[in-house]
Amino acid sequence: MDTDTKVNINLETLRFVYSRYKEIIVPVFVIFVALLLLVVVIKPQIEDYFRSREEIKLTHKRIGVLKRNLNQLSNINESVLDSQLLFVKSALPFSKDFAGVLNAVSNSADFAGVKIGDFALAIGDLEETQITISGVPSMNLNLGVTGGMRNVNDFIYRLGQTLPLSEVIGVRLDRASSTVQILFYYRPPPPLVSNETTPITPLGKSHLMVIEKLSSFINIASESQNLGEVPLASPSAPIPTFPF
Amino acid sequence: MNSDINLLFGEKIISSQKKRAKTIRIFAGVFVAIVGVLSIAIFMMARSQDFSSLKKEQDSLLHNIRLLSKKQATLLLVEERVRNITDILIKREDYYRIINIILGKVPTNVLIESLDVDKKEFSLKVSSTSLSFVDELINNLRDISIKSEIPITVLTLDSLVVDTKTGNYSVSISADF
Repeated sequence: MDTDTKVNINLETLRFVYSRYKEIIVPVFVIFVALLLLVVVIKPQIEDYFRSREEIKLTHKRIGVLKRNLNQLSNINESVLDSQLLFVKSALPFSKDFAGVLNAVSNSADFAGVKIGDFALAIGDLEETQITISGVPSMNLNLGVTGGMRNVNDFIYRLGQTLPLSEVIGVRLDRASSTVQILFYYRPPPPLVSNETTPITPLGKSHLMVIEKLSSFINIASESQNLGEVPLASPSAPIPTFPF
Repeated sequence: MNSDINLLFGEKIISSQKKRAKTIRIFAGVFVAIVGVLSIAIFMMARSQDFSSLKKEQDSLLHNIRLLSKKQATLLLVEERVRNITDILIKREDYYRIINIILGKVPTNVLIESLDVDKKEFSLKVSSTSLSFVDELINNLRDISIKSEIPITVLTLDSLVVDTKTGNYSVSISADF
């Protein structure tokens, strides 16, 4: 006996099956299409909706920061800020300030009553200059100073109170002649990466205190340029009266 | 004749098939309704989000801030300068104070030949006609450490030379910070 069942699939068979089961086939097909739409179309749309809601939230936040930044910047007094920049530039110049160095040395020597003898000023490439404190570049100056030990010490003191900022790194006091090794600091301006969404704050109290401390230093550059006093108020305060 | 023939059997099958078909049709209807409702809901919710006006507001603010970019750059520069200046002021050594303290510890009858000071140590060369003054100097220098005027860790008498002709004592003292 032949146990294999042979099925003849042709249009007639399909029509027969359809007509026999059409009450079930159509709804099952509809359910299948509905599920497909849910997964392929509706689910991604729901995800898109929540994604754009998040983006709207972030945008609101960003707008808040931008409004505050715009407010802060608008309130800052530009002329006060510019003069503060000039002043801090005198303290820490953007580049090697040879004139500033020589003026500071000469002024301090006059004050202390010492004579400056031979000196060596190491002028090199930016890459070769000595880096000491926190990676701030500097020029190395070796000075021969003639005068009493206490006078030389007064010279060191005066130099420390004169701009541009310097640091004594070695002293040899001798009855005949002394040697002082000094670093004069400078720092090229860093590349300022502008991020408009970073909150902007005006100069804080600590910054203003540093500027106030520096204002007690001797600033020969400002004296020669007749820049007057540095406004110590926050740039967002009303402009004080000072000569320019 | 076969007594097992159930004339109602075929009708039962047909009835259960009809029930099944009805259930499936109901499910299909429910699914279609769900898809329809969800589509309408998503459409309404998406319409309620007004992103374009927010974008316009953001762009306008950015434009106004860019007009003040010079001020912003100046402010950042001043802050950067002040930060570095603060670092320098905090970390630089006060050689004037150190030298003043050392010179102040040298008795008047002791002559200072030289004084070398750097970040890590100082070295003092003196001469005197009497050892007692040298002794006073050494005690004074020890006091510097005891009173924490300068953080001396090691105080060393490097050399003591006497010139028998003049009776002068030359002393070399060094100290580590």
